[in-house]
Amino acid sequence: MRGTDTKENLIPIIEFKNACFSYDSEDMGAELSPAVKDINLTIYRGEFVAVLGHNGSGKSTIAKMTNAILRPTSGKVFVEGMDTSDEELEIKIRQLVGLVFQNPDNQIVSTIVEEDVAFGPENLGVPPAEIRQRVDEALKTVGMFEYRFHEPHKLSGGQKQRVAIAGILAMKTDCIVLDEPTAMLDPVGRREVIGTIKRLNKELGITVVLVTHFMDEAVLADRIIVMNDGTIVKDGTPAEVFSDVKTIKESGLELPIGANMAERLKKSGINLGKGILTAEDFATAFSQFVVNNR
Amino acid sequence: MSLLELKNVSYTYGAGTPFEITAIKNINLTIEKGSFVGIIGHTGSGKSTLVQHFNALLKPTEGQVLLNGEDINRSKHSAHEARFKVGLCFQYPEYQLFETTVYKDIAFGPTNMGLSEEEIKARVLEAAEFVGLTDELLNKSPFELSGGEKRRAAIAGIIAMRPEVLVLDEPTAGLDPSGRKKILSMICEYREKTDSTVIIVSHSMEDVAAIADKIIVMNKGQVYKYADVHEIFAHSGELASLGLEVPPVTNIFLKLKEMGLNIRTDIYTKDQAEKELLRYLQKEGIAW
Amino acid sequence: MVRDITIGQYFPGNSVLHNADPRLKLVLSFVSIVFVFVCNNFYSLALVLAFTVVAVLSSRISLKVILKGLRPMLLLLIFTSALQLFYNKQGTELFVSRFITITTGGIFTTIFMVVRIICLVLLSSLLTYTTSPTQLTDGIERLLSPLKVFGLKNGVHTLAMMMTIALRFIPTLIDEIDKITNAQKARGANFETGGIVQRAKALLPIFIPLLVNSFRHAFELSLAMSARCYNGGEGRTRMKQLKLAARDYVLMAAEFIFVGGVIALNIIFESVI
Repeated sequence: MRGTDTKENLIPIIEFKNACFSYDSEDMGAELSPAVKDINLTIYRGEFVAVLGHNGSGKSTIAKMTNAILRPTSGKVFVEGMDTSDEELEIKIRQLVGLVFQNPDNQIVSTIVEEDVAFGPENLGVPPAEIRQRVDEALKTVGMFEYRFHEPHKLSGGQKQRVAIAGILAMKTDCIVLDEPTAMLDPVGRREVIGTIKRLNKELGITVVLVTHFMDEAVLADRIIVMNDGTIVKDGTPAEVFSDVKTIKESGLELPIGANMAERLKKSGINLGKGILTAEDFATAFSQFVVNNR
Repeated sequence: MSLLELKNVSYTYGAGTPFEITAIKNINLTIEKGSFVGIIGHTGSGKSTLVQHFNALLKPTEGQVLLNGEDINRSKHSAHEARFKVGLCFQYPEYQLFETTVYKDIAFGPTNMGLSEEEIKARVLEAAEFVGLTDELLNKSPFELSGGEKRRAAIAGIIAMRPEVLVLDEPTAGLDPSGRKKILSMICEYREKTDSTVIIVSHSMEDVAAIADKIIVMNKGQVYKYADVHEIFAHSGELASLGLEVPPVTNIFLKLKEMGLNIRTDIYTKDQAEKELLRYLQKEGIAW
Repeated sequence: MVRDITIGQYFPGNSVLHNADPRLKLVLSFVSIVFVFVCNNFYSLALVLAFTVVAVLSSRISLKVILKGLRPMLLLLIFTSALQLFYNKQGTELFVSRFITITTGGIFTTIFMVVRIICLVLLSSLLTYTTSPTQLTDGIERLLSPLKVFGLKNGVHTLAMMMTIALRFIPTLIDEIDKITNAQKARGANFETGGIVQRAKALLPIFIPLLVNSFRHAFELSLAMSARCYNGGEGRTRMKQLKLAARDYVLMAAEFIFVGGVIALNIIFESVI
C-alpha cells in the first residue's frame, strides 16, 4: 500500500491485522466508538501519521485500539509484537503507546499540573526521584514548566492539552496517539498543540498518530490514512491522498486550501503542478508559474 | 431600522471584589433589522460576554441595551421578555438537552412563553423542519441522537421561540467539515425563509465571512471594527496582525502580496479567489 | 451564586503552617480540637484561645478571610448563647425575672461555648486554608495506610483517589452549572418565582444535563486513567515523598507545650464547668 523505497529500514510499532471492532449492545461507548472492519495498517517507528475521517467514520475507534483501550472483536492488533488482546500485556502496551483524548477537561486527574503529569509514572511504580526528573523534563518539552504549580482548571484549552501530552511523555512512551486533540480548541490553542506535536516527532523522534478532521493539520503529517464507514479508504503521502479528489469528497472531507485552489485553476486550464497542499504551497507555485510564463 | 442597540455598555465581572475583571468596555453598536452579523475575536476578547447582554442574561455594569428602542433591563419582566425576543444559543448546546423526548425539549422555550398547546406544537414542528429533524426523531430521547442531531435539536429549541434575533455562539464548534456545512447552510436557509436577524459568534473567520453581511471584530473587550464584510477584508493584513485566524483562502493572497505580486488581498471566498487569480493571470498576459 | 461556596477553600501561601507535613497537620488539628474541649477552667481556656490566635497569626492568612469564615457561625452562636444564658439554672442566681433567670453557671457555660466553637471552627478551617486539597488527601491516605493490614487492601487508596477526583472536578462542575443555568434561562426558564415544589421542578433542566454530563466526564476520565496505566493502588509510587522536616518538629513541640499546659492548668485550678 505504501510506496516508499525505504520500507525495509522501517521498524513497525503498531500493526493492525484484519482487525474488526463492533459493539453488540448500545451502551455508552457505542456513539464514541463506531464499528470498524477489516483494518490492515502498520505504523512505523518515527512516523507522523494523520488519520482523517468525518465524525463516525471509525477513526477514534482505531485510536483506542492502539493501546488496548478497545480490543479487536476479531483479528489482531500488535504493539511491538505484543498482542493487545492479551490482558497480561496491557500495562506494557499502554506504556509504549500513550493516548491523548479530545476533551481536555476529562483527562486531567489531579488538582495541580505537576502532580497530574506524575500520575502515569506513579502508576508504573517509577521511583520518586526519577518521577520528579521525568515530570520536569516532560513539562519543559511541552513548554508548560512555569505552570507546574498551577491548577489545571484555570489553564486555557491548549495549555490543558499540552499538560495531557506531558502526562504521556512522562511515561516515556515511544508513540503518542492523539484522538482529535484540537477539536474543542480555539485557533490559538490549536496552533500551540499542533506545534508541540510536530516538535515531539521531529526533535524527539516520537511516533505520532494524529486523528483529526482538520485538513490543515493532516497535511503536516508524513502519511495520511483516510477512514470512511469503518474502513481505510486511502493510505499515502499527503500529496498522494489529496490528489484523489473523488475519495476525499466521498469521505465527507475537503481538500486543503492550496489543493482546492489548484484544483479549481486546473479546471480553467491552468496547471500549477503536483503536491500543492497548503496556502504557502499554492502561493509559491502560483508565483513560480507567473515567472515561468511571463 | 435599528433593532438592537448598545449604548456605552461596559461589564465588569466580580465588581467590588479584588478579582474585578472588565470583560467589555464602552461598547456602542447597532444591529439593523434583518442583518446578518458575524462577531469574531479570540478567546477572552469579550465576545461571549457581549452576546449575553443582547438577551439580558447579563445586566451591563454601565450603559444601556435597547431592543426596538426600549431598555431591556428596565424591569424584571422586560428582561424576561428579552430572552424570547433575542434567542441565544450557547456553545455546545447539545449538553443542555434534558427532556424525555426531543419534542418536549424543543417545546421548553415556547412553554415558558405561556403559549397554547396548539401554538407550541406548530412552532416545534416548524423549528424541527428548519433544522431537518424528522418526526420520528422528535419522539426519541434527546440522548439517543447522534452528535450532529443533538446540536440541531438544541438550535431548534431556540428557533421555536420565534425570536426576532437569533444569536448563535460558535454553532460549528467541534463539528467535521460536512457537519459544519450542514449547520451553516441551515442557518442561511432559516434566515432567508424568516427574514429574521441573525448574529453568529465565532473565533474563526472562515465560516462567518462566507455567510454574514457585516462583521464585528472584538479585541480586548472593545469593538475594534464594525463594518461590511468586504470592508473588513479590505484590511485583511491588519486582522492577521491582531492574531485572528483569517480564512485560509485570504492567507494565499496575503502570501502572494508578500511575494511581490500586485494582487488584491480583500478576498474571503474561494469563488472570489478563483476570479481574482484568473483576472491576475489575464492582466499579466498569461491566461487568455 | 454557586461560586460563593468556600468549603475547604485553600489559600496558597508560604507560612510555617503551609509548608508543614499534611499528616502532621491532620494529627495536630485533631489533638488541638480535642483539647479545646478538655480545658475546664478560665486559665486553660485562655491558653486555648491564645494557642488558636498564635496558630491563626502564624498562617499569615489575612484576618479578613478568617473573619469571613466565622460569619456563617454568627447566628448559631447568638442563638445558642441566648439559650444558655437565659435558661441555664446552675450556679448562683444573678438576675431573676418572670421569663429569664441569669446565673453564674449560665454565663460561664456561654463563655466556654462561644470560645470553644470559635476555636474549633478556626482550627479546623486553618487546616483546609493552609493545605492544598491534594496534600490533604495525600495526608489522609498515608495516615490511614496502616489500615491496609486489616484487609482494607485497596480501600484507603480508592478513597483517597475518589477524593482527589472529586476535588478536581468541583470547579469543572461549577462552571458547567453556570453554563447550563444560563442556557436554560435563555430559553425563558425561571428559577426565582413560584412555590417550593415549582422551584424544585424548575431545577430539573439544570440537574438532568448536569447528571448526564457528569456520567460522560466519568466515562471519559476512566478511559484516560486506564490509558495512563492506572490499575488501582497496588505497585504505585508517589513523586512527592513526605518527610518530617525541622519545622515539623518545632510544630510538634509547640503542640506538646499546649497540651501539657492545658493539662497542668486543669489540675492546678478548679474546674468551673
